[in-house]
Amino acid sequence: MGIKSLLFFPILVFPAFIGTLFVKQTKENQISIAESYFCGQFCLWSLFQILAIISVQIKWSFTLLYYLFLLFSITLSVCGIIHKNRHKTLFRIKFAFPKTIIMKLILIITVGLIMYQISMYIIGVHLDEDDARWLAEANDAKVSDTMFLSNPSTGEYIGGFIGDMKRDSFSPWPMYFAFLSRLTGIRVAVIAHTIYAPFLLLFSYLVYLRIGKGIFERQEERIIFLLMVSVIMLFFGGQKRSEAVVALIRIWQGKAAVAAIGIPAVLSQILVIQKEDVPRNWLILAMITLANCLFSGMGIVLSIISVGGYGLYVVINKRWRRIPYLLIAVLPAVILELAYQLN
Amino acid sequence: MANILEDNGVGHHFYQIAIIASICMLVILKGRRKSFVIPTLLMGLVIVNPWFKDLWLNKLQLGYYYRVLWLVPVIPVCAALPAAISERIGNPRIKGIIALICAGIYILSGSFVYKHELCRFSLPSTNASKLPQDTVDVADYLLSLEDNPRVIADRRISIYIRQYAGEINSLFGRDVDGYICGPSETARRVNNQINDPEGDMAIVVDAMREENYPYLVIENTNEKKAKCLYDNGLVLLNTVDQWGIYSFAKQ
Repeated sequence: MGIKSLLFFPILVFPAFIGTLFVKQTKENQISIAESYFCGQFCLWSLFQILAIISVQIKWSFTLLYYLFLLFSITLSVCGIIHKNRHKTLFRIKFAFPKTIIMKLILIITVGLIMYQISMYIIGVHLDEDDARWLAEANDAKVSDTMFLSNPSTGEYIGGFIGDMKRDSFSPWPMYFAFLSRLTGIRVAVIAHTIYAPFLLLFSYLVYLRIGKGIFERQEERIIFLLMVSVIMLFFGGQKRSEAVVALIRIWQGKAAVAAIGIPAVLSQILVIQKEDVPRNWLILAMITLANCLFSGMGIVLSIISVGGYGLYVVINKRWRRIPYLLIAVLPAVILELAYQLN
Repeated sequence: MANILEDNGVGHHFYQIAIIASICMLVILKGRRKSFVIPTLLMGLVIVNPWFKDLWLNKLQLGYYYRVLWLVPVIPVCAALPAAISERIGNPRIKGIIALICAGIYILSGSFVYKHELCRFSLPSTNASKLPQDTVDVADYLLSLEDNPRVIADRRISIYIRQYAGEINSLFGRDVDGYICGPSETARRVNNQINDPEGDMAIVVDAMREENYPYLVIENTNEKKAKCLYDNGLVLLNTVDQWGIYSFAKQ
């Protein structure tokens, strides 16, 4: 792990600036940094999905995808910074420390529980056989410069998408880890298990905080909501695949990212749309859908069902104006699922 | 519902709490915010419903049922109920007390994630890759011999070794369990011989020659197997943890 590993930090910072392109400013030229980060991160993931799908299906080299994504993410970040400076936008962290002792205590417990869960990713181990495919595919991309064209069990070049790799070629999440690994010079396994997993869990809490903001107006209720989320996450055990278990044990895997981030993000965006039905918010929903497609093949199907379920609600309430936006939001997932089924 | 949850484990009551919480919040929450609860109830009715289980599993071929269960926003709904109750209460102290009581109820209703043996979570990790230390040691040794070593290894090593280093080629990995592309006939045969305490190592050595895998990693406890390997022209290069690393004797 050398000086190159420091390149991980720009990747963590980019989303905050990219998000300024999507978030509405207040009259005082302020935007929420959390909201900006949320939008920026989903923009990056959806951008990666678009570039990766094209690169993988045309069988371009991994190097080309690596440089394309790097170029686009830097360009978007620069655009975000220029946009921020031109509009004199300020990042805002709107948070007032609670006044009562008991609410202070609840806040401290909440932060403590979240930190505890994050620390478990740093000090604990979960061995998962599914990684034999995911992480090996990422390693193969780095070594062979091809994507999903080698057998991850053996490393032998196959030349086509067979078996489980056929599904993965439509949800190239392992390539994102290969990108991060190549950028930073850190092993894929270290990135996935030790560095990116805590980030993803923290991001998952950002998504839950956004749900809390969508339901509750006051900060006190939002803190209580987040406390409950952190408690439920920790005690939703007894089975190996609840959304909380996969979030706390193996969030680096695509299907776990769908459960911990993707599906809650769809819910949070629907709550935002319910409040403010503008095209920008539908675009963010489309980016979330694309990110779900990136995470896992199941993410493609679950996105169609969850956004489609909201569509049913829209139809029942006769909000016809929303239908074209809804179709645009779900279209990427439908196209990918059809392409997979016809392939 | 017990029937539904049977395959998905027990040890918590959050699905039941989510349904009760949804109904309660229909009363407590006002106006547009109810739209958060109604889809949840509808999803719950369609997904956590024994009559529809076959539809999800067989007719729509959506894979494992637990993934469809993720669509029911159990965590946000359960978490929103105490916050919705406290929203109705003006006194912050009472709000806080209600929140702590609810947290206690949830703790008692659930099962600690990290403790459950199904999760296979352990502390502490011995390496940053979070892979078995013996696999990391064996991989590092092989990479010290060659840039791109080709190895036949015991399943316990081979399913992890390519997670650590893509430079290493292996005759088989998790495919011997029937996943990914499935194993080749040679890989299946070799894996059976390595797993069998009475396995014929001559078959393994033949596969090493035919498939061009110069390295073999097997547990270093079976003297009969070790003798068979020597008889077939292999030498022990090194012992890493409990694993013997063999290769062909130089002519």
